[in-house]
Amino acid sequence: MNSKVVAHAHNSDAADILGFWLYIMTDCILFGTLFAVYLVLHTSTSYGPSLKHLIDLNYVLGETMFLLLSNFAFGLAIIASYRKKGFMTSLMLLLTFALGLAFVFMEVKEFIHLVHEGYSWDVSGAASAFFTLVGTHGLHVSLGLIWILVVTMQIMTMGLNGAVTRRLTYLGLFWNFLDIVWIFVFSVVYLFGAI
Amino acid sequence: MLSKGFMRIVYFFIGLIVSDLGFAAGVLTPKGFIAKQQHKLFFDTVSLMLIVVIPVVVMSFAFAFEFSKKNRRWKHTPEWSHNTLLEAFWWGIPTIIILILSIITWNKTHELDPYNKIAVDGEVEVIEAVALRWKWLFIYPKEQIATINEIYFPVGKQIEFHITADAPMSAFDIPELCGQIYAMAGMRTRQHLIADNIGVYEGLNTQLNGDGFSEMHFLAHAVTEGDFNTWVAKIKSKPEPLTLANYKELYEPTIAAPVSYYSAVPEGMFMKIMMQYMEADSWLH
Amino acid sequence: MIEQLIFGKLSLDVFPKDALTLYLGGGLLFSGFIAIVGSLTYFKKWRYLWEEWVCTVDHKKIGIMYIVVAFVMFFRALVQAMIMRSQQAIAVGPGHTGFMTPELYNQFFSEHGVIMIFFVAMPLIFGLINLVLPLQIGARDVAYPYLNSLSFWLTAVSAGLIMITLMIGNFERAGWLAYAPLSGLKYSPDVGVDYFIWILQVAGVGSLLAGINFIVTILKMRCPGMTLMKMPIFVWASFCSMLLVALAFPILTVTLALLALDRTMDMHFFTQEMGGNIMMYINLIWAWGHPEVYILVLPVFGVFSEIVATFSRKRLFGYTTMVWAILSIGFLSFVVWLHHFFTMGAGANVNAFFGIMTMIIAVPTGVKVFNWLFTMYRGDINFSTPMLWMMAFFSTFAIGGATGVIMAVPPIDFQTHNSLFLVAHFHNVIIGGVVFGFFAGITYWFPKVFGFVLDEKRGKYAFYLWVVGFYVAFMPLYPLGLMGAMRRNYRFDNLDFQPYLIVAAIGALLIFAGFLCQLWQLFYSIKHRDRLRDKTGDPWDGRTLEWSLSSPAPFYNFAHIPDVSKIDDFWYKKQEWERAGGGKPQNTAYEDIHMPRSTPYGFIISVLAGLFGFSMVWHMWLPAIFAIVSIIIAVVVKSFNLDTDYYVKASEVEEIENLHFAEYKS
Repeated sequence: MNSKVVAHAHNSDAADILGFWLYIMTDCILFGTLFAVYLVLHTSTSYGPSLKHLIDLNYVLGETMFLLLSNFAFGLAIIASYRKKGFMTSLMLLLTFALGLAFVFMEVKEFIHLVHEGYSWDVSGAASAFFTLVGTHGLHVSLGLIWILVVTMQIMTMGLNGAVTRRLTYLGLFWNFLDIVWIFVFSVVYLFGAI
Repeated sequence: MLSKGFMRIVYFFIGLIVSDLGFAAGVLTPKGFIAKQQHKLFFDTVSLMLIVVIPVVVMSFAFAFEFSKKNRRWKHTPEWSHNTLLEAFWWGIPTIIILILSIITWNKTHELDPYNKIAVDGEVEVIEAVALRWKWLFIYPKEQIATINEIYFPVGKQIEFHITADAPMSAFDIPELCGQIYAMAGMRTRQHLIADNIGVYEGLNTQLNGDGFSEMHFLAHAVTEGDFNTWVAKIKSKPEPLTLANYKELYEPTIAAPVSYYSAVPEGMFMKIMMQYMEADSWLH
Repeated sequence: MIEQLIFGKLSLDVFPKDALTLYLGGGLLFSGFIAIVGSLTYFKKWRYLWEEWVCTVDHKKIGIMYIVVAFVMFFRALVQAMIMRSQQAIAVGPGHTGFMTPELYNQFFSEHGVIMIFFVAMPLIFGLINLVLPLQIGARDVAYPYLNSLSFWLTAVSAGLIMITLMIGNFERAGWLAYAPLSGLKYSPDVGVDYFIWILQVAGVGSLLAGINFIVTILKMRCPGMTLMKMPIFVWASFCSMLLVALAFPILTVTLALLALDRTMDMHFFTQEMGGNIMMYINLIWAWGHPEVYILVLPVFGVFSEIVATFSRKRLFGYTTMVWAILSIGFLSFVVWLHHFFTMGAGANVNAFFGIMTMIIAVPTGVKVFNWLFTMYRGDINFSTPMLWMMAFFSTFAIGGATGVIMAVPPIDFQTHNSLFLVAHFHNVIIGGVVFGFFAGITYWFPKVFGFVLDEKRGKYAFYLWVVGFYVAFMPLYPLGLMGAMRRNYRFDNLDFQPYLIVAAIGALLIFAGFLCQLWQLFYSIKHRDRLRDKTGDPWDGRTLEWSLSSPAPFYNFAHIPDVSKIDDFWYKKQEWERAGGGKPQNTAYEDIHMPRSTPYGFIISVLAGLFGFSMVWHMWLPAIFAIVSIIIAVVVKSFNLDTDYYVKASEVEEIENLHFAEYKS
């Protein structure tokens, strides 16, 4: 590595974090649109089966707990990074990863179960909207998992330098954002769906 | 063909001068209750707009001429960039115009809503229109007849169209009588009209719905009550009724389908076509 | 099996069947390709191209590349427009079908629309903002230089993809917005719509990233003293436009993704049956599409505001009003989308509401026009080409705006919707507004980028051809529309239409002649660049910071970051210098300048994204997976490289600045 690495005057922290917030905002609009589509279509089940009887709220609650716990673990990683404890940060990140992976695993398992029950994405507009909305969130979480691994690797190889700490902050924003989106998915799709 | 076209250009410019040639169709020569009001509303709105457009155009040229570098009649005021009175004036004038136009818009939109019955006395004749690829199927539910690409209706009588599609989204339009409304599968839109003059009016699909789009026309004949009854009787005597079986053939795409008639129609055919898209296993094709 | 996974639906049958497209289109594409590759090799410019352009993160060079892409695509879409106008002029009357089939014609207008909006207007916006905006706010670069390069290359790669649709497969035939259900698998089973989807996805991500980039640049990188209300109006207009990009483009991304899911996964978002909702597609696409119109036009308002003040040698009239007008137009653009489909039958209350909201936009827009007019009042107007474009704009935009308000009245729209009246209206605002504005802007800022002004005489030829051509081509469409001539018809039965259509075709030819004249102007100016050289860096007696630099601006922009205290600070500084009896003073205390390094990642990732799009079109699943994995790997590898910056030595800066001041004083 070049020893003359300098803080890029253009990429001041303030500018970078504003850019990342803007990205989160655009992602918000993306999910907002998907929610709108879901709300328009969720009653369009005239053809196929309805989701209502297939929802297992306990199972979804378990999924939710994994995601919330992963967020908690991420909080611990951030605290460790403030204290400049690289190893501890990495360890907590790996814990976050494991919990997030469990969430994705459960979601995929749920999808497979639904398809086996005859509730596939091609049975109705409502099913399409359900799989797309929940699946897009799952895809975001999966990308987040890759990102967690990359940052962990960077902490191990480069240590907690400026750039890496910054990325950890963004990752935190992203991971929190996905949590919030999931809360909406949980309430709008699963809770209201089960009623 | 082209030389004929060039003669037409000559006619066109003459036409601009005597202003009676060329503009011989569409909403410019309205022949029905709705289209006449749309025609008037159009020119009212144009005049309102001209209140702003003409000053802008005139000012742009006048200012260009007066304040050109070559013209030294005026003192150059490089710092003059604010005047509350002037700015209030040009926030105010457009606001007032838009306010007037908004009131007109609100009223006329409600008055000319294609779903509304036109407020006149008398019976209403219902015609059901189905957009197919790429032809129009018309069903007369009372008379129990159906046609392709042709309608007759009595002049002066209120006609209510119920419109759906068994094709990509299309649009129903008879420019000289009424405006457009979309035709969508599984949905019913409506259009009301009254023809004031006897005549043959062009009807068409105005929404791109595939390769035969340009040829998807029909003729609307506004005729006397007597002629209408004769026409109905003529169709009743035709050999072929519309059946669920030959509807399947109709559903197949054709370009520039000829006018044809069906002497009878199954009960609730329009609903059946519409409900295909709403209920499981109700396909007609 | 494995062959299926690699090649998908791709086979030798995908090449065009008709000889005309194959030989003419293919021949042109291929010979163009050979010519470019050949000359690059012959002149040994490969390395230069790679290092100076492909990998560059310099916003000025990226801006130039955007504009080059825009003009190449402009050429193609203009040729298509001429062909379509000829077809319509000939194919009138029963039995006359002209020389095009509806399949080909439908592809042509869909492509014409997509290219003009996404690959002409959008690159022109991003190009101009790239060229000018950092200079106007006194910055040395944009906030994320690498992202900027990525945005450009995503646009360029998707432009390349739309070029190959001519030869490999076909383009969609459902109009530039590909309304469902016509664009669904049931009615459009071939790859055209898939091309549309993936081309716009790639380009859309590029636009979204560029939007975020410029918002941050404007908010965080202004020079000291430049508060928000002291920014040049072009910066304000761009800011608002980029906000709209960030707010609207995610909607487009979702809409296209859902259409793609319908087509590849058999889902039912926009199908007619199984609970899909076609009206939702039309709502969603316009929820993006209407703001898009303002994304295009707002920066142009900014351009004209700069030009009218400069060429009238006068402060812009009503700066504060202008800012509020721009912001309110931006806001209102999100609450009017339904006026694109009054004819769907949403009911009188809904229609009337959206009609009135639409009309309200006319108020701030009208205010802007009056402000521009009164900037000219008691000015000292110099009618150079940019100002001429502005003069043409006043009339065209007034007419276009007025016809817009007319169509906002729902009962009138029932007649004019989908007609040539509508076609005339939006060409009226897009050519008479957006395109004229960009021509004005490009002429105005050209010396700042290339160091010499464009030739005035040839510029004026081009101007007159364009303006006359525009009126001849589009004014006949207004009466045609009212007479019941609808858009997207490849032929008409009504012979009354023919004279108007022939006139319109002649207009299209005049416009094309204007375009050729602009190329002539460019080559003429390059040839005579020594005579046209801009030595002062301030050829128009400008008001904003970019004119304080040498022409062309040095790659680091500002040797010293400026410090401003008012609107048009440079204009007042010039007056101070004049009173002091000298020119622009040279501050010789130079320092090292911190700059971002060039990087090939923007290019590499974009090419992979292009491969991904192409693979998705043809259902080539293995290459698609390869592309997506490679993109992720490229991003990760790039994130391990922290050596992204370097310092320009003070001595080098001094050398460059001395050259400028030597020329300036002569």
